[in-house]
Amino acid sequence: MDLSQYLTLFLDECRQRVRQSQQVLLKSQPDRQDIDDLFRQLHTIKGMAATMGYETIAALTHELENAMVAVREGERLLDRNLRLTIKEGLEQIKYDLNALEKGKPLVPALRVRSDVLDDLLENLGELYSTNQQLQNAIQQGTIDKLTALSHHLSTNLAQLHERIMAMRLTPISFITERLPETIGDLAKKLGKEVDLTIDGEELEIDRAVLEAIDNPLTQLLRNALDHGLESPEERCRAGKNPRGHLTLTIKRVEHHLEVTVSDDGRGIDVEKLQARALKKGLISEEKLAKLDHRGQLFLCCLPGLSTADQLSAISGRGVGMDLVKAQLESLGGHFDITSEKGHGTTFILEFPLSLALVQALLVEINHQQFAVPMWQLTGTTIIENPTGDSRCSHVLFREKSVPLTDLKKILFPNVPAILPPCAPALIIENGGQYKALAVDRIFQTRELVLKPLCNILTPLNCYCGVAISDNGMPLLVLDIFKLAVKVL
Amino acid sequence: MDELLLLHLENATYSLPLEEVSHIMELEPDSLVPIPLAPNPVLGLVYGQGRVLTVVDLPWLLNNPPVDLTVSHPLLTMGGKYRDLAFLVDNMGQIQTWLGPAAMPAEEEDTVADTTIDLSALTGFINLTLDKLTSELQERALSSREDGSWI
Repeated sequence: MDLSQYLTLFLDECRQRVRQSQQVLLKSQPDRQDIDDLFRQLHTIKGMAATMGYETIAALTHELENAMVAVREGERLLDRNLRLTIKEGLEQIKYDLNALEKGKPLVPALRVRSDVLDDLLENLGELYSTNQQLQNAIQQGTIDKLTALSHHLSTNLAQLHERIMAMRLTPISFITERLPETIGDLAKKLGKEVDLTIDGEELEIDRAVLEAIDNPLTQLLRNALDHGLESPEERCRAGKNPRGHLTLTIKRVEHHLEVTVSDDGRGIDVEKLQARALKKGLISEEKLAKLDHRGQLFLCCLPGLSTADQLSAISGRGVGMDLVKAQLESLGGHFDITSEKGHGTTFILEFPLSLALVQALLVEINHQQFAVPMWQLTGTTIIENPTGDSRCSHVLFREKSVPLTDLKKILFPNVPAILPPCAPALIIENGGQYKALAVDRIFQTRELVLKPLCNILTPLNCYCGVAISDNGMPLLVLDIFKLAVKVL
Repeated sequence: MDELLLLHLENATYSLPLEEVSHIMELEPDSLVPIPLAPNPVLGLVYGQGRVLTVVDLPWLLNNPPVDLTVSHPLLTMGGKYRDLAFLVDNMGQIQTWLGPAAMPAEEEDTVADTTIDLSALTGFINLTLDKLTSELQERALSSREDGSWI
C-alpha cells in the first residue's frame, strides 16, 4: 500500500505530539496525568511511524516509551537525566521529520549504553597495550613472546567482536509486541475469530535483520489471516473450532534464525493455483506438469497470482508473496512452504543471524577465492569420481544420492569445467531436499564483516555481499541458495 | 553552469559534474577482483579509500574500445550516494576540468591553461549523469542475469 499520500498528515500529527511532549518536559513538577500524557504521545508517535514504515523513528520512540513505562510504574523518576534524554530524542525526531519532508532518507541512530562504551574503551586500551608489546617483541625477535601476544590479541578481538555484536542486538518483541493488536483488528474487519501464539520473542537478534524481516513477517501473518483461515461458519462446517489459530515461532538454529508462520486454516488449494497460473499464462503446461507438490505450492510466489476469490484490501492486491519472497531473498534468506488441504499452511523462513558479520567458509573456484556463509551450508563432502567424468551428476551424502552442480559452470560459463577425481562439494538443504555444489578447493572458515555490493550489481542476485580477505583484497560472498535453488 | 569534468573519448566528448567525483587514484590491474556474471563494462572490485569500489570501464560503457588492463590507469572514484562506484579511464589526457564561466581565462592565456577549455567546445559534448550511467549498468546486469540459465 502506498502510504506516501499520508506523509503530510503524519508530519503534522507527529510535530504536534512532539510539541505536546516538550510542553510536559517544561513543567517543573509534572503530575501523574502529565506522565500518562507524555507516555501516550510517545506511544502514538511510535505507532504512526511504524505504520508509515519509518523504523528509525519507531525505534527511537520505542526506547523513550520504555523509559516512560518505568516512570509510570514507579520504578524510576522523571529526573533531570531522563528529561534530557527524552528532550534529545524529541529533537532527533524533529530532525527526522524535517528530513522526511525534504525527501531525504533517515539515517538509523544507535543508542549505546555508557557501560557498553566503557567496555569497548577497555578493549581498546588492551589492544593498544598488546600492540606496544608486539612492537617490543618484534624488536627483540622472540618467537615465544610473539606467539603469546598473538594469542592475547585474538582473545581481545573476540571480546571486542562480542561486545560490538551485543550493541546491535534487539529483542524480537520490538516487532512482535504490536502483532496481537494488528491481527485482532484485522480479524474483526474480516469477521474472523483468531488466537495468535508467539514463541521466542525474547530472543535478541541483529537490529538490521529485525528491521528487514518486519514487513515480510507481518505480510505473511496478514495473508494467513485473510486467505488461510476460514470464517467461523466455514470452520464449524468443517468440524473445526470456530476460532482459528495462527502461530509465530522464532528460534535460533546453529548459524541462522528460523521463523515459522503457521495457520490451521484451509490450506493452499494447489489445483486452483495451477489453474490460475495457466489461465494467466504465468507458466506453461509442460513446466507445470514437471512440478512436484512443493513446486506447486511455490506457484503462490508468482507475481500477480492469488488463490483468493476476490482481491483483498487486507493483504493488498493478490497475496503479495512475490514481494515477501523478494524481501527475504534480498537478506540472503530463503523459505519453504508446507500445506495440507483442510489442515493449514506453514511458512518456514531462514535468515542469517546478522547482516553485518558472517561466519563463512572460504572456497576456490576457477583460481578465485570466494566465501560461502556457513548458515547456508548443511555440510561438505568429497565427490567420488575416480574416472574424472564431467557428466557426474550425483554425489553420496548421508547415504543419499544428491544432485550435483558444478559451481564453476554457473559462475564461469565460458571456462571448460572438468570435474577432478576427488573434488570437494558443498551441501545445501531446502525443504528436505539436498543439493551438492562442486568447488575446486575448500579452505578454512573465517568471521567476515559483510558489506553490500554496489547497487548496480543488485540484479545479479547471486552474492550476499563483499568482505575484505586476509590479504586486503575484496572477497565476494556467494549466495549459494540463489545460485543453486531453482524454485520454478 | 556547474563545474564539469570532461572526458575526451574516440566517439565523443562527455561531461560529468565535477562535484560527483571524489578522488582520482591509480588502479593497478593486479588489485582488481573479477565479479563473475557481472556485465561487460564492470571490471571488478578493488579496495581503496577504506571501502570496496566497483570498477567500471567508462570508455567501454560509452561504446568505445575497452581500457587495456595490462597496465595501470587512472580511476575516478565517485562521491555521495555513488561512493562505492569508480570509473576507469585510459589516461589523464582524456580528462579535463571546466570550472565554470568565472574561471574562464582571458583569450591570451588559453594556450597555457591545460585544464580549461574554450566556451565554444561546451556545445560539443554529451552530458552524463551518474543516475543515467548506473541505471544503464543495472539494466545490463539484469540482462546479463536473464541471458544466463543459472537461475
